[in-house]
Amino acid sequence: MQDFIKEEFELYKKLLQSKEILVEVENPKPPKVRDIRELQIFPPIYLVLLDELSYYNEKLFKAAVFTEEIELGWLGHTPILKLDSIKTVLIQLPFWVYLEESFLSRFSHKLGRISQEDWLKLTEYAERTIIPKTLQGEYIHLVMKRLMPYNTASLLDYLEKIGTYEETPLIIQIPQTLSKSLMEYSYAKAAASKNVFKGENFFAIIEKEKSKTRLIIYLPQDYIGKKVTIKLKGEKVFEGELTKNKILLDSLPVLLDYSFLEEELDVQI
Amino acid sequence: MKNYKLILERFFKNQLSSLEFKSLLINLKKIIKKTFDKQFSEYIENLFAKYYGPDYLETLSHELLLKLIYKKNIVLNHSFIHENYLSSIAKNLIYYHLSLDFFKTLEKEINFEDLYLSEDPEEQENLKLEETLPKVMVNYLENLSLAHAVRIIKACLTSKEIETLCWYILTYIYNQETKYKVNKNVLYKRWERLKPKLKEILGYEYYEGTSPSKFFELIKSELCEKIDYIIKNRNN
Repeated sequence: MQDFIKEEFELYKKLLQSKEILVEVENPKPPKVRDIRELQIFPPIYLVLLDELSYYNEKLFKAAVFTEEIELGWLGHTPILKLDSIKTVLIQLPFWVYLEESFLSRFSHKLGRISQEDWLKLTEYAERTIIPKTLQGEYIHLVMKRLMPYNTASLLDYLEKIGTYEETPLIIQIPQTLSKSLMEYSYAKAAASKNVFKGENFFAIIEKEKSKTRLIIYLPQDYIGKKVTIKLKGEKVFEGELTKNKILLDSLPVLLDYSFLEEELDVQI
Repeated sequence: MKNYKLILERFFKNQLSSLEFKSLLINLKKIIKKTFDKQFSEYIENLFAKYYGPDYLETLSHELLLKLIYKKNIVLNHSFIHENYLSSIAKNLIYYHLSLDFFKTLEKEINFEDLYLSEDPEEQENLKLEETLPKVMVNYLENLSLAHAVRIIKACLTSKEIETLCWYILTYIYNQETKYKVNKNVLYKRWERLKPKLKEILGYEYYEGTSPSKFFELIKSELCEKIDYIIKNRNN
């Protein structure tokens, strides 16, 4: 029995350049939620902008990813988009990325907009679909890897930029007992240890010093003046009216990996 | 190995003589034909011939040129344009036509003058996701995906696990009498342990795919009938 998927995956890998070439668009158009945009790269990658995160003048977009490699991306009930003007058919991949406004404007070409009703379907597919352990899964991880430099750079740039807007953060001391209980994660090591996190309604960055670690949390600007509860590992560390949208949690134990914070840090309004 | 960079560059600038243009079209037709041969089935190519007539390669090559004009900035940034590059664009063009109902929109002639005038294809507002795809495309994708899944299952499962999978499918899906020497309760416990592993490989429960019956049929013919043959011979 011939395995076309295997042959297609091999062909796709051969098409990849040793160094990705990103081409600037001739007539940049500012990105908006629901835009369909083509990243100027080969083999092509397409994006549908799902959400916009704004902090002062800086914008970051959450984007669903689409591909032309139909047989490699098709997992059964996969959303499909047809672009009649360029005779192209696209298929969604089950993950999303964060990209900065300036990056999208410079390197992606607007092709159209999706309807409001389809927005939810794309979000659900990106968040809920399990990536299989087949070559189709390997292909999806490969596209993720291709986008990783722009995804990570966007997150870091965004945090760096919004960091310059705020003078002094709101400092919250974590109780020692809670800090000690976090030592249970001292043996945890994720495949790719990271220092930047995105929660449902916050961004957070880890600041490592010699003997301690601090966590800086950025909340949406419109939370200021509202009652906010912050819980770490189920324990309340802050409750009250928010005066600043930059919060510093001081201090966490020194650990190898802080990925657990994505699960254990909860901000409620 | 032919580099298409120069000829495409001259085509984008509208500098090709009619002979050169004809030669480019002939090469593109060859690439599309190869794409059909290597990456699609004969059945799919026959559908194009049936719905679009004997000139389908000619018309598809015009459409491929249209796509290349649209992508010219990215194309020109590559120092070497291998035919695999053009074949990958042609492949999506074939999929695009497969996704259309009744293959209606293949244009017989394209006016290249008009194309040079329009810088950008018109942006499409309120694009809708496709609710359903033509059966021919779904069938084709299903067959590729299931053939691959069965190959991966064969590679990832132990012989005991394959035996268990076959026992379950033959007994519970096809209601066939099986002659396994292992106790039924043991096989059932093995099956319960195997289910999560199958889900991990496939990304969904084995019965949740778009066509579970096709999946079972493929497992039966590619894995179980061979095992059945071995078991029968062992028993005789």
